[in-house]
Amino acid sequence: MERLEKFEDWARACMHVRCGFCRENCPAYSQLQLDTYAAKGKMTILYHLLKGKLELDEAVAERVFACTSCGLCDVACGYNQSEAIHEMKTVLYDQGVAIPEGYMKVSTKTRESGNPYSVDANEGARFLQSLPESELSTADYTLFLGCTQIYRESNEIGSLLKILRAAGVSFRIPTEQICCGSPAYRVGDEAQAREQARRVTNLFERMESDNILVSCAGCYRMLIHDYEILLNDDAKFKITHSMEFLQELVQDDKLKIRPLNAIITYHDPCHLGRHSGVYEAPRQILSSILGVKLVEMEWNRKFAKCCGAGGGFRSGRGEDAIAIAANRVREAEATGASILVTACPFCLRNLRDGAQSVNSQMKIESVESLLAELV
Amino acid sequence: MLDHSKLEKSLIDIVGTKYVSSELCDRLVYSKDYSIEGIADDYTPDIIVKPGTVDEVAEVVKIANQMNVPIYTWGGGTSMSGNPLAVEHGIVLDMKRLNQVLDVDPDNLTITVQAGTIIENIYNAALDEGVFFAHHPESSLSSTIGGALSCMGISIYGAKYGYVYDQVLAMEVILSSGKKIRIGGKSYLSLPTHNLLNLFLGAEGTLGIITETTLKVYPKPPTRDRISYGFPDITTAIEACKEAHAAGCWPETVFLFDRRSLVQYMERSKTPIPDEVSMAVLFGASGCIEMVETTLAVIAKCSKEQGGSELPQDITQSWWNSINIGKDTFDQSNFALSHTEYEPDLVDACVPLSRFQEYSDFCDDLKKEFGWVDIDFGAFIVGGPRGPIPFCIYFSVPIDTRIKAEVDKWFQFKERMYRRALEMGGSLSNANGLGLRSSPWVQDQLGSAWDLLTDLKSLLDPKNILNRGNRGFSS
Ligand SMILES: Cc1cc2nc3c(=O)[nH]c(=O)nc-3n(C[C@H](O)[C@H](O)[C@H](O)COP(=O)(O)OP(=O)(O)OC[C@H]3O[C@@H](n4cnc5c(N)ncnc54)[C@H](O)[C@@H]3O)c2cc1C
Ligand code: SF4
Ligand code: SF4
Repeated sequence: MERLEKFEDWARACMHVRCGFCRENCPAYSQLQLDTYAAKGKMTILYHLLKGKLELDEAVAERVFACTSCGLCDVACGYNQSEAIHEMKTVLYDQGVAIPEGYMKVSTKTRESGNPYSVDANEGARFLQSLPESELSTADYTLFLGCTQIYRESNEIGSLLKILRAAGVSFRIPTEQICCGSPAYRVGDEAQAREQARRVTNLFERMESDNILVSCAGCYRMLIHDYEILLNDDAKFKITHSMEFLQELVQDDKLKIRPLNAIITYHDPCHLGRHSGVYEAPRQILSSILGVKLVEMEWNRKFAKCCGAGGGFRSGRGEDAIAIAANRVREAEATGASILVTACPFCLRNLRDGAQSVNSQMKIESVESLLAELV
Repeated sequence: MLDHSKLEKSLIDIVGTKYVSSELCDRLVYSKDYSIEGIADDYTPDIIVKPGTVDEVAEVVKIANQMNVPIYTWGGGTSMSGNPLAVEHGIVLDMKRLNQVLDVDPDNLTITVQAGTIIENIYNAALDEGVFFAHHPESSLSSTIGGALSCMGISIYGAKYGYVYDQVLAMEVILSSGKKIRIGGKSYLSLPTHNLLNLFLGAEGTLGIITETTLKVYPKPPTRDRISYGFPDITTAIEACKEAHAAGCWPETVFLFDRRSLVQYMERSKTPIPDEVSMAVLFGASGCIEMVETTLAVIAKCSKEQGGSELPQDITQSWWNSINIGKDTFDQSNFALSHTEYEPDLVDACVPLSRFQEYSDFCDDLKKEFGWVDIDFGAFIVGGPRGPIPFCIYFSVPIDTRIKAEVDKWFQFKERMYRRALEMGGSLSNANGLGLRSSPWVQDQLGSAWDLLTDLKSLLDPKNILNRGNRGFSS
């Protein structure tokens, strides 16, 4: 509980003002409907946990875990309430409170198999080793690929590799598949996340890589922000997200891109946008394609609504996550766009499922997959 | 004795499991609004229910009646005076699933919505059809129209367009028996007898539950702009407003903040405020460009004549952004940030216009008497709906609620302030509703008219189930 005390001021401010600005855009509230599910509710819980009026029990865990960690409430509030919510998840986890099964699975699977999908890690390693860049012993960049890309969206990897190769980028790929730890971290399993952070850091050290390229928004946030907290150490590597990297390639004319006549809208992944401040690079890439008209959704950039997949929500509450994605797809449809593009494999999957659930004709692509078709 | 499990089962039968909760962690979320009252006592309801249709609302009310359980209607829960708090526990009825914009009619300048609709959504739905909905509180993103109609509601555009009451053409209300009535219609003056709307407007959920309303919208003004002026005191600021009125100006925004309030509102933008400013006024005008420019030019002249000096443009802009919280200014609210160290509550009173300064001076003296010398207080005044003439003054009093003695002192302070307002020929203000905060003096103010009000309450709500024990009515 001590860990929560540092948020007492924020909880008290919320208990006092009760403004509710965090509520209407909260993906968890939009699905689950009681005020408790918005940050306002979760901060109320925190306040009463500290006061001793509530205990860390199953009902509290159910409410607290229903959070995609999207951070939209932070923007409304002024306090980073999502940090406090994350801390509550960690405390609930550490105290051994029965946390909802779907979220818990993310942790147990990572602990057992080394990845949140429970796939045999050798399978991932075999896949990586099949890529020629894994045989290189030196290169300018090391491309770190995440579990969702490897085990669920391997086409995405194909697209990214095609672009990097076309642009003549010097990069190599690790032969080992190690989860960055983000899924476990977001469901409160800090110990396992720390373990993953150590493993990934060791991997980079062994490879003597200090220039890391990442194209999963979740891995990126983890590597660029959370490792410093988890390992209590300064950043050791230069981490670049593929969006910024590709934007430079485009800007430097390193890629020949065919025109595309289409109206496109872009969904900001929370981990990449709100949490890491990368808003413009993907937009610049898309706008640079001849014939593309880039249009914005009503809620974009810092205010972008969440796709519903983050924070273990997709594992914990699959149907709700997909329903949230469907709402985001509807928002995209309202722009008149025919393609909804994003820059996170997790968002991509969830948005595709969301679109399918409402029979939307919207085509859902990642920046990489769209670009790969045009180079 | 209330049979909790029977009540819960009955409510689940009406709305389904997802929308009913008796978990303590949910009930606590619905037990506090802005007011310090909500911290000083326990207003935790027994159960939360969130119906999705008008018929479900009626069914819930019938159950409450049958089982004699009080029912507290809850919109956004953003009210400031303890208005929706479950004084006698019982049911909290969350209205936010009744959130449909039913009809926007630009030809007849009306919009019809369900009562749980968030105000910002009404505003945007109107704009989508090219018309302008004028009730825009600072809490537009989170409060409901039902809540606004129930506790007056001041708009940032109120100086030109009036209170939220002025926007209403019709309402559908569920009475405490569960019976549904409709008052008014789409055309103006659809009220051939007494204006029965007034029975439910500002009733804070004590006389009926509003489920639907038809509201006025206006042709959208093509432009709007603002200026702000700093004044040495309240009197000169008010004189400038009166002169602007005499000159024929009809601004839409007239907000007066003292220095402390302004500092609070600059929390996010960190815009510095010139030393000499003691009272500042934000004037906003809308219309065609010539009208806006002329209005602001005349207001500037009137302000200067009263010793006012124009405030820098970035103060005007930050000020406006922080009260005009909407889709584009989602990250501009200072509310939470400015409420960590102390927790201000309001004294919500009206005194005759000529005595605003005197009342403010009284507040300063009282503050000293209470030993609150090191705490800054905020006062703010709002203009409307009679043009740029201010009508209502609030004092924000920051209390450290962790210290019980401070909370007790706040209650004593509040009493002195309200009593003083009444002695000065003033009134408890209905601007945030009376709720629990202002209602202890309502009988004193109304005298024998209070009996009429309680008779009406008994007639409309014989079992006293609607917001039982709140707004001065008996438990
Ligand atoms: C940050 C902030 C800024 C604010 N700015 C303003 C402002 O600029 N102007 C202003 O006027 N107020 C403002 N307020 C106060 C508050 O937002 C308003 O009073 C608002 O109208 C309350 O609406 P609500 O939906 O939150 O109602 P609630 O707080 O849920 O309820 C208010 C009262 O209305 C009753 N009620 C709610 N819905 C219904 C219904 N359908 N039928 C019958 N009774 C009902 C409740 O029982 C209660 O008595 C602000 C509050 C905050 C926190
Ligand atoms: S982080 Fe996102 S899902 Fe979690 S409470 Fe905030 S807005 Fe809701
Ligand atoms: S925005 Fe912040 S202060 Fe306001 S209700 Fe949400 S968490 Fe509380």
